[in-house]
Amino acid sequence: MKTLVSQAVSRLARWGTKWSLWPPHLVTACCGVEVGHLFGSAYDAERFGMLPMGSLRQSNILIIEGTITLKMAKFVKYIYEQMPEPKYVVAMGACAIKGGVFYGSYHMVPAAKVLPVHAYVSGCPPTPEAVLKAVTKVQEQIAHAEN
Amino acid sequence: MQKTEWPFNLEVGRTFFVQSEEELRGGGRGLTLVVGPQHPGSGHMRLFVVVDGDIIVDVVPDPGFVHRGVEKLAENRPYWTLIPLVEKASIMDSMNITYPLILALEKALGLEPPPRAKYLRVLMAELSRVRTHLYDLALLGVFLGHTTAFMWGFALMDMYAEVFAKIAGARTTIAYPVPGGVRRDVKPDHVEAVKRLLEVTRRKLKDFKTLFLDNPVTKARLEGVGIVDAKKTAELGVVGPFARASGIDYDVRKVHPYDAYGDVDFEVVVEKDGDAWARTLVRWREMYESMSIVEQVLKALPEGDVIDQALLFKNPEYRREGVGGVLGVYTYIYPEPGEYLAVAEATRGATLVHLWATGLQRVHRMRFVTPSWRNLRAMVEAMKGGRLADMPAVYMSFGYFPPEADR
Ligand code: SF4
Repeated sequence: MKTLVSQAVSRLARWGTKWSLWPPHLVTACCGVEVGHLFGSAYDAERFGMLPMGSLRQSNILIIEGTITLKMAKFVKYIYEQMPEPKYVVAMGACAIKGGVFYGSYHMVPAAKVLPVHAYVSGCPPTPEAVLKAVTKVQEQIAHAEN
Repeated sequence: MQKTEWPFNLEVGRTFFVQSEEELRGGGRGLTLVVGPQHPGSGHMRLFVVVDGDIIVDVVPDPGFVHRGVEKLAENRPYWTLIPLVEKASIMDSMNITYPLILALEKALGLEPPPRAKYLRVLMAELSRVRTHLYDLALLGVFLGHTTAFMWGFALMDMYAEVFAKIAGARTTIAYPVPGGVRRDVKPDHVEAVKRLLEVTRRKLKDFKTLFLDNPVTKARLEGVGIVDAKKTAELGVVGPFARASGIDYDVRKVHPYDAYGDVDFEVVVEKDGDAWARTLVRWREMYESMSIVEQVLKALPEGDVIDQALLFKNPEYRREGVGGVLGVYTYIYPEPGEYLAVAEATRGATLVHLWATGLQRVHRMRFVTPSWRNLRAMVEAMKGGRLADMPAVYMSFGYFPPEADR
């Protein structure tokens, strides 16, 4: 009986998380332009339950918008650590994967060296559709997670 | 005033306070606020703001969060791969920001684009300008808490993105010009698309104006805020629409016309007040100027090739392979040794590229001066003496785009 109740509660919690992925406003580089399009009226990410949030204390998905420079990496980590659990990371752009056009630059790190990443989006910059697809992938991960 | 630094070494509880009273001008009671790099607006830069009550006493900017070493990377790669590298400084303004590089490379390689290519470049440059101004206005809306302006701005921008995708093959990073021409020719349906785009933009901008610029709240937030007068503007080396908002009549397109800018007729928009409202108005009116340039270009678009004949002769297979076949020719032409300098008017101001070529395909050094970097100083000066609540309005009225400033 107890397990049944806890299972039901966790399913409800996962369902709730899945449709309320709120990113904090952290722009790390130029992919932010396409993220703007993503929340604009043409792509309207809000239909997937995404609402850009000013405060990181009320958010649970971090969209890494492109390059993370060494200077920014520290703050990306702070911001990630301040976000409440459960939290997810989508790394966007060729820069966040391995460097893109800036491969070999002295001042940047791939996103995976800074944070655990749940989904990558390729492109420079990725189209908003691609980002939305990554978000739906994260939603699937949430829905199929154990407990 | 000492240089304010990230106060990590201070003991807990006193972290954000300025320690000694002598550090402060003003009334002597001050508080250092750290704004950024994560803040509800846009932009990834940090500002150390010293406030006395509600008044900003001092601002120390801390840029460099997006410094990716474009200039250093440029030393290690062949010149034709510099175009996508430089363009990433300001991706929605991609055409304008690569313009000086292309002009400098053309001088170095001795190429001359055919008239059609010149007109197509101007066409894309002006569409890019409208798009970037829309982007900045939309974000200004967000900074003022006017989310509807954001939605409208981005809805309009999205149509530009689609037209760019049609003409150049990418929504945002188009890398459209190449030394000696442009990468793709426009087809009749592209011309139709551009015409429709202009018509829709003109129609929608009217509503956008009613909604955003004519809104008394917007005007109240922007008028008389962040004033930089003409003298100070000149001293601080401000460029672009932000200098023109203070009454400085300077536009590279008029002063040193490049490509087809000599043939088109347009007015340099100038305002006198030098406040945030004037900076907004200049950009608003420039959009109409740009659209009129695009219309003139479409009317006068010459026929012919879009790549220099010199390149075409080097690849006889061109007719079969299209423009893409010509691009391979770059691998066996070399820039003349020497220094080449080119300036172009990007949306946010004059952009300069200085190339040192040594006769190799890798340039020895590339100096890249971007407008946002030049406007940063004035932005900080404009914030001083104002209220903390006006800071976002001043910030975005300068259209500051960190990747462009940090390169
Ligand atoms: S992937 Fe491209 S668009 Fe995105 S941050 Fe990197 S360079 Fe900019």
